[in-house]
Amino acid sequence: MKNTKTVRLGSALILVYSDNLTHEYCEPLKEYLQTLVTMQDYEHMVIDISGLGTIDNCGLHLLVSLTSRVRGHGKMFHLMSPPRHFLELLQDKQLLRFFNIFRNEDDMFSSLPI
Amino acid sequence: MPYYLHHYFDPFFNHTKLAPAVESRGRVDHHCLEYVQNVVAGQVIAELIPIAEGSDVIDTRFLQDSATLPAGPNTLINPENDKQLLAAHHGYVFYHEGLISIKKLLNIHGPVDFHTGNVIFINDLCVEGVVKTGFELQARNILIKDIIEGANIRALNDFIAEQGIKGAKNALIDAGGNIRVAFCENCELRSGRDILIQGSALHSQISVNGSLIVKGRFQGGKVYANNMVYIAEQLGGGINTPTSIVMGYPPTLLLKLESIEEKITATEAKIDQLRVISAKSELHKEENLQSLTLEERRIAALRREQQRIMKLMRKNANSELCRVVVPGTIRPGVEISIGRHYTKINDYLENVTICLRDGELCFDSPATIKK
Repeated sequence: MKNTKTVRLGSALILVYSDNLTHEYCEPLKEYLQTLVTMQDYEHMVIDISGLGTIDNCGLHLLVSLTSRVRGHGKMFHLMSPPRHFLELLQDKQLLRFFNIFRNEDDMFSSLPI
Repeated sequence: MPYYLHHYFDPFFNHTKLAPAVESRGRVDHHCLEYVQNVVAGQVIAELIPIAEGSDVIDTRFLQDSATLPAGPNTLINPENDKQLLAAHHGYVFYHEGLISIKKLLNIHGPVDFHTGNVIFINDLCVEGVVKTGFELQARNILIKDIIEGANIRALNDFIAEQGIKGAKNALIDAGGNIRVAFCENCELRSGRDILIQGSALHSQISVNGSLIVKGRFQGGKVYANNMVYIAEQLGGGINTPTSIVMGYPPTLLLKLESIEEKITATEAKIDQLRVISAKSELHKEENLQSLTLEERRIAALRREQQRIMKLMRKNANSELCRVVVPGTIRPGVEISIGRHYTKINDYLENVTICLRDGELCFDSPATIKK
């Protein structure tokens, strides 16, 4: 998948996504993410969105449904290093607490189990 | 010109006929049934696509001659594109009497168990049955009308458990707003605001940013609070029932700091172990290099976070305003710390308030003054 990179860190699967997350980007990304979700050998899925471009309501819905899917499997879903415009969108939509958010890598290291 | 109605959700979804999700290697997960189809306000949920004559259509059931969208309650036509239907509110989407509808409140009429799986919902949730051990719920405001067993529940705002919690040492309730429960035992409660327990709290860990009010007994367990703790009947259960109250700092920071300190100890031990193994030979060193680098990165990050949290704790200390109010009895063995000050109760106390005054813990009686 273009503009994505996955890294393993202990029990965490880290996906680095750096592109826009709008209506037209959602469908192909959704299929890719759904394949990742069904993998068994991780406990935490972290999406590093420090390079996130524009995001709209459809992109937000993709993250919401991904959260439901991952947590439905009894695993944890986190977003890491969210840019300011994304946090403002979450605030505006009253969804700030819907996601587990790591401010940066230090926050991730201190929150994930060893 | 004919139109095809393209859905951005499953139009045939039926919550009574759910199948467990298939994982890799053919395993199925009975906790993941995807009970609900979440939609975000403003999201495109359906779209009319013009179809050229004679072209192949995926599903003929959604072919229509007119460009009319089946807009039901809580949906709206996109003002910028009249062929798109948008969600007007956060909620779940479904077909009702031929119209695409969105409901803001999810009502589960029975228990949360293997019929529903884990439920992660974007708006308000009401559960009429028992929440069974091992299941997870997340929603904005949550109301549970029956008993909660060892479940993991996260409310973005308020949480109410009308019948109480029998946590079996597994239940975790985390609410951004207030928590109100009938009683609780063997569970962990975390609240961003206040907690009201209408009965007793037994062997539970409670962390509360605001005040904690227990109308019955608080017996066994630990409270982290940053304002007032009011226990109406009895605090502690005797020497053999460890009961403690820690106040004066934001509980979330205190818990995070405890967890970081544990991780630092574990990581240091791991690094020492890796260094011993690496010292054996060049081959061992090469094999363990990646793990050692990772652990060294981790410990550096943990120490930075530890410093940051300690700084935040000093900044947000609230010891002078903290108090423990017990109009009933405090039994021996209860440990109370407010800020850096600590005391262990060695005798029965009746009707007292404990607070910090002039750098000392003071015991005032009566606990409350009636006007």
